[in-house]
Amino acid sequence: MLSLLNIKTVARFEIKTLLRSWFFRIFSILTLIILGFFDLMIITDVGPNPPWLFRAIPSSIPYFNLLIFNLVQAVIIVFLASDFLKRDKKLDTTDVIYIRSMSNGDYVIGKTIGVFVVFFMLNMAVLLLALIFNFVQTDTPVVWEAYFYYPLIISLPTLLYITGLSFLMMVVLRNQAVTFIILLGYIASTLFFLTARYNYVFDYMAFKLPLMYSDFTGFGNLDEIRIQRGIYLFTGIGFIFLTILLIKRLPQSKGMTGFSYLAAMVFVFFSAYLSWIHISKHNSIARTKAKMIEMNNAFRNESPVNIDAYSIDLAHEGEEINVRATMRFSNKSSDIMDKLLFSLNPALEVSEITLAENSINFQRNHHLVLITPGAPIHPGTTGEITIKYRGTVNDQLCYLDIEPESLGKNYNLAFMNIDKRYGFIEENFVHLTPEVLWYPIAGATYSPENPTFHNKQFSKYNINVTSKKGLKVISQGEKVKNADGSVTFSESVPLPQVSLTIGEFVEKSIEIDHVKFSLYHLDGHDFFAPYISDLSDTLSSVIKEIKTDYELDLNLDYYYKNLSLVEVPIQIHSYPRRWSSYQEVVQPQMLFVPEKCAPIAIADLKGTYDREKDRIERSNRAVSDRELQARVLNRFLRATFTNGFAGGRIRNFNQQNPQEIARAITQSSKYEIFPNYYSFIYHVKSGEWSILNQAFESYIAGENEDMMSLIRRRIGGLSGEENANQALLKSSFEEILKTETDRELMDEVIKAKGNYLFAFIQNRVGIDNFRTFLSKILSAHKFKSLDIEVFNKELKKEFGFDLEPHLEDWLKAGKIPGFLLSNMNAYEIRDGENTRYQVLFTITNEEEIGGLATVSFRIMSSFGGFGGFGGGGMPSLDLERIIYLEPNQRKEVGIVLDGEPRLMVINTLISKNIPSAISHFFNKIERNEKLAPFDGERILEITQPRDKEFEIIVDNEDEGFELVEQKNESPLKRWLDIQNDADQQKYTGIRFNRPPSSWKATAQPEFYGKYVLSAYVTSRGDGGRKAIWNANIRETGMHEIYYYVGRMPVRGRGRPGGGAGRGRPGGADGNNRQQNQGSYLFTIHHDDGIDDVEIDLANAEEGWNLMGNFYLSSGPAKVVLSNKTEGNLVIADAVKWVKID
Amino acid sequence: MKISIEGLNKIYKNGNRALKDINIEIENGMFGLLGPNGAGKSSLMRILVTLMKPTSGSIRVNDLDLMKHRKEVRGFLGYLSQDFAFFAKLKTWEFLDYAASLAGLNKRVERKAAVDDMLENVGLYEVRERMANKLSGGMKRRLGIAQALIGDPKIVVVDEPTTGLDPDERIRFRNLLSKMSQRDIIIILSTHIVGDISSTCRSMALLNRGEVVYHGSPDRIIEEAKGNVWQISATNAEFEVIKEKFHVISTIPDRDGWEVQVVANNIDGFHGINVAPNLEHGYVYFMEYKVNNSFSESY
Repeated sequence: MLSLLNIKTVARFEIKTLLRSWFFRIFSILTLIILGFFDLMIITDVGPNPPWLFRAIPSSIPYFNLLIFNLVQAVIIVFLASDFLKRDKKLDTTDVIYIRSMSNGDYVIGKTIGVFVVFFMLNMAVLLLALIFNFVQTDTPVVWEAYFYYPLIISLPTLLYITGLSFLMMVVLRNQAVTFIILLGYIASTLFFLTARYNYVFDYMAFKLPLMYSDFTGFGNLDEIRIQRGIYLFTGIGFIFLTILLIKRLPQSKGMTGFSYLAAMVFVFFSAYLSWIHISKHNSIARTKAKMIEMNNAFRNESPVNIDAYSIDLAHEGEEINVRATMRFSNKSSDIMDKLLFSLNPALEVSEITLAENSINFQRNHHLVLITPGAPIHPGTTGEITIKYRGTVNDQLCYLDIEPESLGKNYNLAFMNIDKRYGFIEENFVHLTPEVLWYPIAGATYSPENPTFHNKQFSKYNINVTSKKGLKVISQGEKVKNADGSVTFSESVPLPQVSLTIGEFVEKSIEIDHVKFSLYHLDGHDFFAPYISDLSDTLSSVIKEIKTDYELDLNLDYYYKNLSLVEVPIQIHSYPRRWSSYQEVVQPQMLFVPEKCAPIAIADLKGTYDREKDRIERSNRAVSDRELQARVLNRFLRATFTNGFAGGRIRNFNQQNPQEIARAITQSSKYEIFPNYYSFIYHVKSGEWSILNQAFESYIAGENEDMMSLIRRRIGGLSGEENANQALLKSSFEEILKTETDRELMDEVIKAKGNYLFAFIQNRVGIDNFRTFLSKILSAHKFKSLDIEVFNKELKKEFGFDLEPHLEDWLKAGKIPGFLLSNMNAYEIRDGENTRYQVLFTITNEEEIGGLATVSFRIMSSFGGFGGFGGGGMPSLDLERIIYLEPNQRKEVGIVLDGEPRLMVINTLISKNIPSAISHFFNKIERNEKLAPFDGERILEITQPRDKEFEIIVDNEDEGFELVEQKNESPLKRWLDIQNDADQQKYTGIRFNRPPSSWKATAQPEFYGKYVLSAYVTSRGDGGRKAIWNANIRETGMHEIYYYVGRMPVRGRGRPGGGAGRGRPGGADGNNRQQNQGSYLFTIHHDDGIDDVEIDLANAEEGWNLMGNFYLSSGPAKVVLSNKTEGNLVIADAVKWVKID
Repeated sequence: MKISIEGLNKIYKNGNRALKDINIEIENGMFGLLGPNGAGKSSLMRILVTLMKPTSGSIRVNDLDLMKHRKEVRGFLGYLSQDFAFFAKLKTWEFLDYAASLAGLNKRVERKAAVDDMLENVGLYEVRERMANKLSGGMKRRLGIAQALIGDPKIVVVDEPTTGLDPDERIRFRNLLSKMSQRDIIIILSTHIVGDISSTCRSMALLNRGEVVYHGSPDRIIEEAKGNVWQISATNAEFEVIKEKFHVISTIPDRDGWEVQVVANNIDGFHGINVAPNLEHGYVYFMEYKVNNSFSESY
């Protein structure tokens, strides 16, 4: 049947032929050179900024190399494999080979082995290359398992599958060109379209399949990987047998033909079976989750009992836990309860439930445990219930509130894909957080019918854990080792939740101000040690300083006695929730960071240290190693665990567009310790207004974020608040909460609405009064829930202000206001004996709904300037005034300040305004002795100025504005631009030193607009790109035509920032480009023809610039701006026609 | 070794009947297969070398049914196709080594000896390290026959082996085939070059439109043509008439007109002399007067 000698012969000569193919040789050499270069840049210190990930997770070195190589070889194999028949046929060698005494199986298998061996050798060469770099980078250990597994998982199935598929297609189609095109199309569709869909079932080359190998747990989901790769391994083999059957050569062995039929059927059916298992497993999880949600909906109105105390006895037995959870409960509701409801992970099997020491019946429906007690539980009564259960947890049934699209979304870093895991129970590692429901939680969990509701309860916990000898157990509270080897954790204060982590950890602790700071990491994972080696005696002061700064910023205290930083596998993933800002990686007294903080760029202490040292040396300054180490550690800790050093949150990967960079800078880190100051201590409880808890959280976390907002818009196009406003323009807050699937946007909306609500309260009761009140009421409700009714009652009692009637509007309002600002001035005045500063401005709300605006100032310090964000965070603004404007109301606002204002930021909160926070710099403040201090608001009449009747303004936001893009751009470039645009919002952050090659909208306060201060920007060119302003002239006659020249960047004014120093004009967008502004070339259409007009930007005024007088008849008129300029860029903003007589 | 072909038919999917009821027996030695283009030679040979199935009929090689015992038959087959080229990336000896491996020479030493021996036989030993595709046309043919002959096949089929070769190479190639045919093997030589057969084959078949119209020795065809090959000295005007009336085999211009050789039963009206026929004359005479005139005769 099969002759090994024939197979060997065919394979031998196939190998020889392939190895001598120039195509193959060039491909191999190029691949190795390119990969070698990549390795050099990303693994070793040669690269300017080698990503931390590669050194943090050593397995990523072979993974990255094989992943990239596999992608290329998949294409090359298609060509070479499909070439084999063509090559033989073309040279007419097929016949002389085919008449030899060998079976078709010998021939096809020999060919397959030939292709396979050659490429496998190349894979080995790639791995060897990776290994060499791995060795060279001495601080990165070699994970041998990864070098063993990756070729088997990535290369082997890919090679067999694509070879088999190419052979089969070639014998069926018998045309290499057609085969090649079809297969390339297939590869492209799996790579760009199918990608991670259907749980990676189409990902034959494992390009998107999560394969990151953790030092803790290896692969995130080995079973799934085996099945997915098995599908392609067996399909490939099946295709090879099908090729044997279909090859155009008379078979010579009936046995081989029969065997090939059988083998092809078996392998193809087996792979189909694996596909079915793979997909049905995925579907089964989706169905189970849908059922769980259905159950939650059904029981969402059932009041849960309050668990006053948990006593959990847990034995970790291999890949299972055996638990006895005793709960002391009470009925704190006003209802009589005839059943008790608990949620527990569906994979944990409940064996017995006892109530008052009597075994009772229960029902298990997915995650819900429904217990019917013998007698109803009356309000105020207490009891004790014990649930015994064992098993593992199915972590894929977590996050019911997260849309399947988000859950299924590929998580990758530097192309490498990481499985999303939420919990582990393995022999040597356990990681359980409340989300996996590892202990019974009273009541049902997430219900889409009340998406922001979360049943938070504060309970006392006592946890006793027995585990394998040598493993360290980590949980909340004081840890006591018992004589029987078990450990007990108990906490004196009630906690909202607890977690449990067991592993081969090394523990390091330090006590600072009665708080025990612990660090748990795997042996050998103390990557930080060499970079804090000189800090042994100052480490506590560094940490203490960070803690103090953070607490001052929040105005909150840390109430626990412990704080642990626990290293967990890279696969541990978490999501933002609808009911809170914290994620599962932050738990009471605990922060779970991915192994070696691999995704956190600033955790690369060595990189930061080296770069900082270089920088210092270049500036000829002297800083001791100790000081440098302190600085590096300080930045890492602040950027990662507090809201400080925002620049440090820019990651190396996945943040390549300005929006993402802006988000990274302005959003808090998911590992920020904030929940331990607020969310795990306080809870604002409301059934009807459940979103209020998050609004409180959001308010406390970021009361003063106007500077952040400014920076985010500069870089990213729109601030979070503006994104929220865009959403609120279309839907009410309530609708967004129910229907919005973009978690980030929802978070931004909640934050914006939260800020508005508190600004509203502050407007009514006074800013400082409210701060004092809030601090007082929260202090009185530590470790317990604060009912919103109690809050409102207290607010009413203290200030006579009833919040409740306003909440309905706050939640359901379908419109938002819009604000117009004018006459913004500041004067130095005399107020008695003192010199003070009078700020005056007019604010108008022309919309049909009232709204708020906050006014903040940055006051000139004795050192001058604003400070930067290079050290401890953004420079803050002082909130001075909150103004409320009724619908269609105009006010003159006067604010008297003791210090000289440099910057005024008027944040219009929820409004149509873009930018929503309008910044105004007071460059020169004149002295005005006659002006009497005015600190208050005056209502003005809204009148339309008479001269406006003769004006027609067409802004870039108006209908009369149109853009013409370059016509001769390549279709590919256009397509790529469309693809890029598809992922971006309308307003983008513009890098003025690298303007876009097509028109892009950007919103900046310097541009013209009613509510939206925006313009379109593009790079200079040959005039192919045009902006056109079309107006409908009302009256025939002579007209002045003006163009609006924005102040920045055309005028070369600097933007704020740039660190310390008074009057520093800004960065690259500022004055230093002023020489190269060029002029704008306009074409003006008028009754006497067409005239070209130039505006020389260096001499242009800020604001409206006259382009000339032209006679225009009533009807259409047009002004065209081309991108032909000597300057770097062209900005298209607004044109004004003014009728003159 | 004996090949018995009985009632062999081949009808292609498009309805073209390539072979009609072929019945031939082929024994050891060189066997020539002659016929015009489209006569069915290639179809017959492709069936003989197991590349194609017949529609009906049988071929037996000794006692083996070719279709049922492909494995065994392929074990002693050698084949050189008409347009045979080589893997671009193999050296001369490597290609032969590949063929030898596939022919069952599994032991490296044995195979090397066979390859070297064969290279010596076909006069390619000196160029054994040269890439096969860099050989001259004649060398390539010799390498082709070498790969067909390596491993001591019992049946060797060569298809139009001398097409495109210069006269020296052609003679050299014929001699090589003749030398090989001294062995105990059948060499089937398919060609439309009559000279190849006349100088090498003791037995032959003539195919026309899928039918065997002659099967026997080349001498007998020559015999048939005896007295029917004429040499005529003709003026230009006569030459024009001769071209119209007779099958002209050769024309040589001379001082007064033309020396013309024709095949014809008689040359009434012209003066000519009978010349001794060769196989080419016999082939023409046979095709013109026996086949095309539907002259039926049993051979």
